[in-house]
Amino acid sequence: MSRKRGIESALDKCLFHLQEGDSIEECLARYPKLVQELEPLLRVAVQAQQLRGRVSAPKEALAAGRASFLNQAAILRDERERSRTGTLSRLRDGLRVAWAGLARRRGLTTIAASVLLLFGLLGGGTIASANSLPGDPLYPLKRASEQVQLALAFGSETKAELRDSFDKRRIEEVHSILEVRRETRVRFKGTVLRIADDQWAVSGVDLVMETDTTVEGNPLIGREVHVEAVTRSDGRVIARYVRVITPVTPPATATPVPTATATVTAEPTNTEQTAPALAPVTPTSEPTATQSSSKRKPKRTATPKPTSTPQEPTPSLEPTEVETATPTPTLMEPTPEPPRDVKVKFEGLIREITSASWLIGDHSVQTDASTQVLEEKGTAEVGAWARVKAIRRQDGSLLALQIIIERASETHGEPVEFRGVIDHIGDTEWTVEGQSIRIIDSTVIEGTPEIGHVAEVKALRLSDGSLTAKHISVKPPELQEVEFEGVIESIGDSIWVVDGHSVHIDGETAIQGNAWVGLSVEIRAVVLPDGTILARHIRVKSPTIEPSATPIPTTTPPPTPTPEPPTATPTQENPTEPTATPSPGQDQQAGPTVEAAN
Amino acid sequence: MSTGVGKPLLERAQDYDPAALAEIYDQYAPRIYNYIYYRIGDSGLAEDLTANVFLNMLEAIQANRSWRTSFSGWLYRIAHNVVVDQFRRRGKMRELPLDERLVSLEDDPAKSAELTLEVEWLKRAIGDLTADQAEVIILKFIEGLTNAQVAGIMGKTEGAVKSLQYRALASLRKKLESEEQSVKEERH
Repeated sequence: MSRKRGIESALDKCLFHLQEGDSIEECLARYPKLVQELEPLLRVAVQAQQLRGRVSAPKEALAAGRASFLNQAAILRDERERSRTGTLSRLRDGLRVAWAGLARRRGLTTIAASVLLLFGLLGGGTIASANSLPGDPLYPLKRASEQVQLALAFGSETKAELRDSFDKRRIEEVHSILEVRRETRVRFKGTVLRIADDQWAVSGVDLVMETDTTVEGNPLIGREVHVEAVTRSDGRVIARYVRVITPVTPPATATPVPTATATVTAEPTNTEQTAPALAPVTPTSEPTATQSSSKRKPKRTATPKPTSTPQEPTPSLEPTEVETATPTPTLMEPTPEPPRDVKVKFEGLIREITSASWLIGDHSVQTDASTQVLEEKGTAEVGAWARVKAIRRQDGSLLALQIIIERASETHGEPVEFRGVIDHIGDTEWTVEGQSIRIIDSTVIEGTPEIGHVAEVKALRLSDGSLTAKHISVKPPELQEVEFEGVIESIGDSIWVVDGHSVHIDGETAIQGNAWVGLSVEIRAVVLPDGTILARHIRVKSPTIEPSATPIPTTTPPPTPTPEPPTATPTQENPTEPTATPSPGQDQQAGPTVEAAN
Repeated sequence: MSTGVGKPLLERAQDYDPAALAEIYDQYAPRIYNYIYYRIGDSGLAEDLTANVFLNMLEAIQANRSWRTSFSGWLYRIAHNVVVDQFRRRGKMRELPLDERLVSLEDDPAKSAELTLEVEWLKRAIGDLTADQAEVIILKFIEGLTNAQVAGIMGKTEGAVKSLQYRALASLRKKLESEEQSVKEERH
């Protein structure tokens, strides 16, 4: 190791020990021969550390940046959720441009710009969008403003109140959409009030359940659900996806619902209510008008069985939508809702496979002859990741309709290690040295991934021959510098042949002298990872003979790579270091630009 | 430096969860501001560029260019790119004005003034370094990052960072000595 390298290494170790709490003297004691060189540098390092915490960002600026950041995030989240790019993308760009323009304008401080923007979103923009409905151009702004309100709200109670009011708003929007007979997609959250084959009611919205409607979870009356649906011009709301949020009571099957023998059902009109009445309620003698805005017609329950004198209604319960000819005060035992087959979807790791059932994630799912197993992305085996479409049968068991293998097993396979140049970087797949490697969530990637860099890959070769990366260490290409002499055999635009070697020329190649075929040249070049010789400097030697059309071979030996250490003299900015000249698009992850111009 | 941000928080951030993003912002915005401020020496511009870093972060998440290993390294890398863009647009700003936002860590006013002056020299000297040297000093000694993190942000090897920090400290030392010398000469 050169002395300079030795100092660099000792300095680095001393700096590490200083960070760990050692004094400069203790550090120097480890390197008595280098005290003279190290001491002043360590003192400067300690001095530089004094700047830590010396600057604090103005609180107003941070607050403004925070609001802008959360505002933008809310817009993007809404955009992602709705999978709509048109209006929201323009809105986002517009906001960003507005933000940038406001913030950069002299005389208008960042905080002022932020406040203006926020007012624009929460104030004027929202006023304009307040009455908008799904499908309206301003509707995304309405949703974005709600997200901002949520983000800026203090306290969980306030946030919960806001969420509830937004949930109610979603349901009101559905009714409004039905009034105007618009066909559009709607999403809302509500309480299941009725389940009857293909007709459900969720918080006052009548849903049509079609054969391809997916229901996730165990739907029972009283449970809260997320609904994705489409409205039709004939006033129907076709459910596409219903997800049960949380069980009302454990165990789930204990949720009582009035049955045909019950004379009264007290269904909460308030959609904010998370739990339905758990016990039979005191009946009303007359159907009670409700304050709910629901336009749903009251549904009649089955034949009542009058038993005794009716009692006064309990005002707090506000029972609705029920007509009873002769109510009964008898507290009827609730009968569990009859179970029914529902479609469910889930995904998870395959833990066990037997002839009759599979354990996928936490679910045991049965298979039969009709179960489809799709293995396009990997073999169905323990350790693979599977997506399952199944039916939850009346007894609660699951029968798989489809098991789709999403990812091959990560635990099986032959370990392989290799090293090579990165040719392609994708989100889920890289190509290294011509080999395709699958990147999975657990793949550890060290270094900065970049095409042309060298990757040391530890992977598993699965049974289908594919490779799944476990660990990738990315290193900048190790460029070797070579110097050699030879006779020019041919001269092309980008490639010269010198002594039988193809020498690549690019815009940075410096050529000194007039080059002709047959002349001797001194070449300084780098050898790229793929073996390409890229000339950095070519000096044409004074011709000792007249140039001729016929190349005159010489006895100059072929170039011998002479690797240089990655650093040069301390007075220069490391001209031989490979990373000193970054290629465009160096960081594929972090942003649009790559390297500082000195 | 500990990232201090657990996986669930980062996962939630990738889903634009406002609470997670707010937590990340509160934790990292002051550091990113410091880094940018020391690199460009203009507090107003540092405020705007800090905001840009976080907006770029959201765009990167949207474009599936999220962090793969270290979140903090990734965020500093975005900040690095934002600064580089700024340099390209306007050229490197070498004037580092004495800023009223310097925080005094010293109770004694005399000592505080002395320290502030020393800090000012340091800032000026760092501003006179090459961009790479300044960056390694800021990331390593002011931000307290490890060699591996600095290497990731600057797109260099750890070996190159070790060499660079040696040259950076040596240059900084020379510049501080020359600053001290000129102050002495002014006093005489």
